[in-house]
Amino acid sequence: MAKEGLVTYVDNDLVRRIREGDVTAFEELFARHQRRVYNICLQILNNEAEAADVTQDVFVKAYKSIKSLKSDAAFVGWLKTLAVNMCRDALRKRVRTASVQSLDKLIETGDGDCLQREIEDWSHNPERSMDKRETCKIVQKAISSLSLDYREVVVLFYVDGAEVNEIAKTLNSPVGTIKSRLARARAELKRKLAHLVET
Amino acid sequence: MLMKCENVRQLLAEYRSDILSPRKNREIEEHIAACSDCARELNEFDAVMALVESNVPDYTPPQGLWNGVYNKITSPEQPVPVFGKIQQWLRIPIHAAGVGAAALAIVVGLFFSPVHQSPGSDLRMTTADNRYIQAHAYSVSQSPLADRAGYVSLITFSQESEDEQTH
Repeated sequence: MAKEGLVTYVDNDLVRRIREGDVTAFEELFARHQRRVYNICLQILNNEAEAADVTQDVFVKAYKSIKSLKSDAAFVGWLKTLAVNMCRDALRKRVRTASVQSLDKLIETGDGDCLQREIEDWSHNPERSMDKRETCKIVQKAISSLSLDYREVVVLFYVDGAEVNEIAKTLNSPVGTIKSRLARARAELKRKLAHLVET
Repeated sequence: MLMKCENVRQLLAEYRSDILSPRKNREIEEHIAACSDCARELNEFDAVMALVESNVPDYTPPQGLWNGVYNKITSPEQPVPVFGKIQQWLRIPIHAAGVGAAALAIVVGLFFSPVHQSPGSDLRMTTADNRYIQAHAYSVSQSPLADRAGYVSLITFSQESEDEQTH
């Protein structure tokens, strides 16, 4: 909690400096939040190159419209709202171009931290490492196969670690709607992934 | 046991997502306490959610993203051409706008062209018009690059037209 408060305090200070035209402050803010934005974009778009492009666009838009941000403390939520909205725009554009690159490639090449972390944690046991790798891949596929409404909520809840109230604000939807989407998404994930658990 | 197993299993996700009424929650809890199959189903649900939570992806963004952002925020903004702004506002593709403008021009052209006028309508020029045309044609025909023969025939035509009107 104290750490979260410190993070917000530092963000507020950076946002104040950005408002005054300090680009180095924006670079610092970018460094602090690019991973979060990139992972949200990647999981919603399921495409590495698009996620990188949209991540850049999110920060460019954030910089250019930071004066419209009502409260400095609301920066992270605002950034996530921008990310989700710009992912939706990218998905609409994609209908025309229809080029989807599967996350499989990303996973297979081992670029993801999911795998890097897994290799560090499980390096003493190659067999279990393979299990973990497969599990990670299957979970990711299950998330990316959800409908956009469910995927957004699942990504913000599990990938970003946001609370339901926060997700409601980010997606500008009632808390009840978010809870309902989360429940349905969980039910779908359970159907898709039940074979991986033994009870 | 009031609720059926099938109903309980359908509501497990809602139960865990805290969207059921307190009464429904209590009914499910009572059912699960008495039904080992549904209790196993709930354990399986929790295990799957724990699996998702412990296997969520966390990728490192590619190198160089900041450079792209920096270039975009520090480069001077290119002014959007007026037509571009209109197109953005209308949100229509450029070729559609072109086709629309051409169609409009044709309709307007046909409407205002003399061909559109009915035979009975009065297109004849007045004497003042003829005199103005003659004077203008005469003055421009003095230019070294003018098509003198053309202007002379125009002067002749307007004179004939004037004669017709006076007789």
